[in-house]
Amino acid sequence: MAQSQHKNTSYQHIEREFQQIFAVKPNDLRMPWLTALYKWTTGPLKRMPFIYFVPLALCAVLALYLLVGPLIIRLASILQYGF
Amino acid sequence: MDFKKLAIQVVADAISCMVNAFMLAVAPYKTMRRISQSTDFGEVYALFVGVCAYMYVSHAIREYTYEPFVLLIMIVFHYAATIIFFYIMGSLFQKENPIPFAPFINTIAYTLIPTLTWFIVNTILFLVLPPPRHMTLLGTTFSIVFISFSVVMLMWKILILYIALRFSTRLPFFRLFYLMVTYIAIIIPYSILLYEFQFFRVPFL
Repeated sequence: MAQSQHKNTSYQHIEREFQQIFAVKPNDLRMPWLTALYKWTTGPLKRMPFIYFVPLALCAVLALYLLVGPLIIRLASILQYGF
Repeated sequence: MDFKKLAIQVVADAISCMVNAFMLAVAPYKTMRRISQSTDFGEVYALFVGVCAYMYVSHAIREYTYEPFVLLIMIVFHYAATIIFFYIMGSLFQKENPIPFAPFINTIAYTLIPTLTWFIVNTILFLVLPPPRHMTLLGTTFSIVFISFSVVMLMWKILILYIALRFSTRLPFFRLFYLMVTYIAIIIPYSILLYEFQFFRVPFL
């Protein structure tokens, strides 16, 4: 009896999980290569996006520093007064 | 007895709000999906209490032109306007299946988490390392790190907003993209207006 009830609860849990997962239809961008690119890009961002954000942002800001130099320092000062 | 229940509920909502905020950094997709299916709006109150507390603390550190309460009303107005905008626009795009209104209340509220984080960190840094920065090795390094942090928060904000809209409207990518571009097109002049009237230097959106 208890085992059957446990199975029932597990089944309901799995059913609920599946309902949550399929609540939104997967994205189809109409072009297979674009859909593949979308999934390749967004897939890793579903868990721990900061692993990708931090190096990306650092590289972008370093590149900007090499391009505009001292303007970065002025921008930081302006942003610090921004709150 | 009723007061005890209420107190427990308030503490539970505050803890739940903090856990969700942390989980939005660790697993944003799964967390936002869960948030969009929640019908408990107590966390929204907890979030706005946090925003209110921040406003009063930062006003004590660096006096605003307006009272913190006025700024809080502006933030609540902006939050409500954002929900209504996305709900109406989303409904226009999704005529086949009507969109429920409830998920927007929680999901849009949680998009304030990266903004609040940026403002809190910025306030702490303002106290620890007051501006202006100079062209020294330390000044340059700090500037690069600080702007990188700001960019990371912006990326997080965009990601969370996209996922929030995806689960609230259930629209496909391109329609969401148009929706977000329209929103940004409205936000830019709105932010300039807020700056001109000295409400916010950086808009609290």
